[in-house]
Amino acid sequence: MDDELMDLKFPAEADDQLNRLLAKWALQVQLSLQEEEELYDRIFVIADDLGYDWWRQLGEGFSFQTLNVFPAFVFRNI
Amino acid sequence: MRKDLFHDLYVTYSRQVYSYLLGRTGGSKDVGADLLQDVFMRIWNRMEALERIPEDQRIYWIFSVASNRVKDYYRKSSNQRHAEEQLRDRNKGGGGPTEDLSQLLSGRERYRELESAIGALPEELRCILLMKVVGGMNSSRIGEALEMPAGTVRYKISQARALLAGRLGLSETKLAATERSNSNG
Repeated sequence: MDDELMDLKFPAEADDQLNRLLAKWALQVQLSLQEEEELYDRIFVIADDLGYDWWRQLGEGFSFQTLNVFPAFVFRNI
Repeated sequence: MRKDLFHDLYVTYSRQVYSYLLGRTGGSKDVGADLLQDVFMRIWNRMEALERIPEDQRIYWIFSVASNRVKDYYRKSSNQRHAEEQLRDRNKGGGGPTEDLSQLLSGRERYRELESAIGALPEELRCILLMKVVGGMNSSRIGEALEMPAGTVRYKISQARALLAGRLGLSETKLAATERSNSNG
């Protein structure tokens, strides 16, 4: 593996340039503290609502027709 | 009590998991954030199971949840190949290796080139590189998350960096040269 690593090495100047470029790019794509906090809060808003699994099943196209989850009157006039 | 543990997990792992999701899905911030929310909702719904897992093994479990969420994402949304084709198409218009190095860090165009080059990396290399660069994880930590020896992680990071440098015209490494000659037939 050492020989292979040697093959991957490139000049120190280019190495530094790549480091700087990646560091600046990373700052752009990272979530801000505010975004992280909003995301955290949203988790509990959804979780406290109907429950995550309910939403997940709905989102995945779970067929409710196979379950008797609605009262009969919902279908009475269909 | 459970919420406190969940909060600790979120503080410790959200950035790391986000970088993993970003790497797996190609670098879109919006997609990464949506998936991150989903991953932590799944974790919240499985806290009982997580509490039974020894602390030093939790990182792998958390990244397994993230990995499963990515699989669902690929299954449900436009498939992975389609996304990768789009990224490659975007990359086709990028600057070549003859570009003037003095302009390397200037302008948004350069960022777009970098983004395209990152998007065009093989998924595993992209993921590991972003876990380091965006997630701030060291090789050992990445290895724990992905169940991979730290030495292998280091090698893959080097591979990813060499490919990026080649694509951005920073250097002509043997690996990039080999890849270029292969792609030219």
